[in-house]
Amino acid sequence: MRNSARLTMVRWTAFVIGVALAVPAAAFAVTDEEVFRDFRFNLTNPGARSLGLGGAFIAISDDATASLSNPAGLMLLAKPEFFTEMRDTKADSSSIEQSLSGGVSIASSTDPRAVFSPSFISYVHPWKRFAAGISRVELNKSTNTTRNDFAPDPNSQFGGFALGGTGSINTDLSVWNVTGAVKVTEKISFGATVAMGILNIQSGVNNFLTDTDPNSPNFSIPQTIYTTSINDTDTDVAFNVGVHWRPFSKISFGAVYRGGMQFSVAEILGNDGFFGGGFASSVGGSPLSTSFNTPDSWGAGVSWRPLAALTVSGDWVHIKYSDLLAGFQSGLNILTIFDNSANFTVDDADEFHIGGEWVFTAGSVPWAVRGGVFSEHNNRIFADFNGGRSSFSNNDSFPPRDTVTHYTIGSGIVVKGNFQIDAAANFSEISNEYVVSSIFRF
Amino acid sequence: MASLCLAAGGTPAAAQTQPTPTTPASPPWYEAYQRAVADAELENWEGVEAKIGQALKLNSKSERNVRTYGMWHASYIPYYYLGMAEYHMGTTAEALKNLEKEQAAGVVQHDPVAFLKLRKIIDAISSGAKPAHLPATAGQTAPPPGKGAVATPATKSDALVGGLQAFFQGDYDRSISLFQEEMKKTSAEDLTLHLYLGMAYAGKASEQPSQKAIWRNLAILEFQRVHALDPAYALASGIFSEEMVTLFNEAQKKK
Repeated sequence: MRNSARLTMVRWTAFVIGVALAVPAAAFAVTDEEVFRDFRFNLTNPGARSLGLGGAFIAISDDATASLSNPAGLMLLAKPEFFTEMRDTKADSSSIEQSLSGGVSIASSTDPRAVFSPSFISYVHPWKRFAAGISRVELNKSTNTTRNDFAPDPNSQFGGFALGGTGSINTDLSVWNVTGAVKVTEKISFGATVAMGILNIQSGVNNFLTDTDPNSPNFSIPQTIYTTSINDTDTDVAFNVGVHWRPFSKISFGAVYRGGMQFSVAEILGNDGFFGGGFASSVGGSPLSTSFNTPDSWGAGVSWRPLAALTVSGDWVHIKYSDLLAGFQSGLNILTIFDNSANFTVDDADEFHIGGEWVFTAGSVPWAVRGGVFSEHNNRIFADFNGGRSSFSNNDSFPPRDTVTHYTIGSGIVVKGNFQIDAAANFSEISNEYVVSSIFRF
Repeated sequence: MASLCLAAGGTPAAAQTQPTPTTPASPPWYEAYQRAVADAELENWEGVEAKIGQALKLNSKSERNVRTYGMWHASYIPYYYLGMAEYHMGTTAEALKNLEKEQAAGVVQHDPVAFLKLRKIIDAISSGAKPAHLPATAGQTAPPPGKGAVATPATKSDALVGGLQAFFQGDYDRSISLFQEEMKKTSAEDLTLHLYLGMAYAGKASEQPSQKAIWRNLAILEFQRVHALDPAYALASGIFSEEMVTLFNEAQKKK
């Protein structure tokens, strides 16, 4: 067992130099830091009506949310609409606690803060054979705080100290869309959206070492070993296209392709004195050009209205989550520092949405009740280390998440013939979400 | 306003296009219907006839509060628009047949303005009058100038129209007076008249807070007669104020 803080630093420095030489120049990428572990995008179709239907809206798309759900659906509108949505999202906290061989214990946690925001606003104006719309959607608006701790066995090579990291992140990814749709025949419409995303991100992570030797003068005093921070904005442009086909009056089909976006922000690596600047060098220098990608996705849906009051719909959506790996940067997490065996991956996913809506009239007021269910595949980037483990962690330290089933309910009402208000709730093991949206029809 | 105006913005040029040929790709009934309604507002009667024809091929049943797209509902009164188009095109026999068919369906009565127009046209046809732009045949009286495209209503409807106009202008005293006058002339119980008089009383209640209770009670009495004549009658949401609808529903509960 070592008996002084100085010795700890010497050992660390030796370790660093040895490993750093073996680390190749890393690509610029989104990183493996804890603050990004549960970084999630809101890829569900906007609108409380859509959410109440389990997000199965590609083939329905008959309101102003069509700009996103299926641009071709704008042609289904007969009058101009102004759409607003408020979304209250509370993602559950997640935590990982594990013991590796050799008495190493690891604990990490992510604590998202509830976000309540105007998440979608849209205006659509239809003409006889053409429709146009403008909208703004928040694909991501989140605030997370994270903490992770790494405590080696006091008797091991790196015993006598603990490593940790605390971080926070605020992100706001809003996308402005300009959409056009055209009716090719009475049964087929096409639509396209040009989307400009604006990413605004602020994050800060402090990684520290704590001497656990009671005899050390630095006992229990955290010493910063490096920090990372982002305070930057970037923009990107993408395209969405969709088709809507109604072969019969009671059945509709829709298909949509949504292009992903790639953003790049500057990430500052600081307070690297502990390693004599070796840490920043090991990952390519500071600032890093850290990229954030939204995945490409495409999907198709069918909607069936067997009765005037009843609509059932189903969507299949393929999400190319592997886009998130483009330029992924490992080695920034305290658990993977200087670790050339730290490989990460994420799988593309097929997700399914089904829902039903029953519309009835109370007096002369139309009401709707809705229910739906959809699956959300793992979209967390997880460890795929050589041999299942790296220096300070193993695959279980960065696990994928199980596929989650979301259950949704919703209701809606039309007031005075031209104002519609809908509400929906989405329950799952990882988050609860409440959405209220309104449509004013001119 | 007529019961449905789903048209987004049919331009006058578009409205003047010839009837769309019916193909296997005919749109759902409401798309054709809303175009017909737009044409009716532009008095493009040939367009109305053609588009209502398309709508009727897909949905031949008049219906109140029928679902269109999304959550939106509308009253579907195709025979009213068809009859109105035929009347203005001079085929009065067909017009009368369709207007009476619409009246018999019992849907147009829920749209007081459309119902009033329908009654005026039926009265005009019955009295042998023709639209202003059509030449009057011997023995028939052409409507006087300044009355618009719709034929001069029978004398009894003048007070009705005047009362309705006064109501929409906020002149509730005159509106009440004209409806009461009309009611004196009418021997049979008339649902529409009771409805209009109740509406005028309700308007007066909102105008005179000091005597609100009196006018509200008078309105409730008239609305109760409406409920007695047609227990299923309901005021269409979106046409009347929430206060009016509430009072109307309250009258039903107090019966």
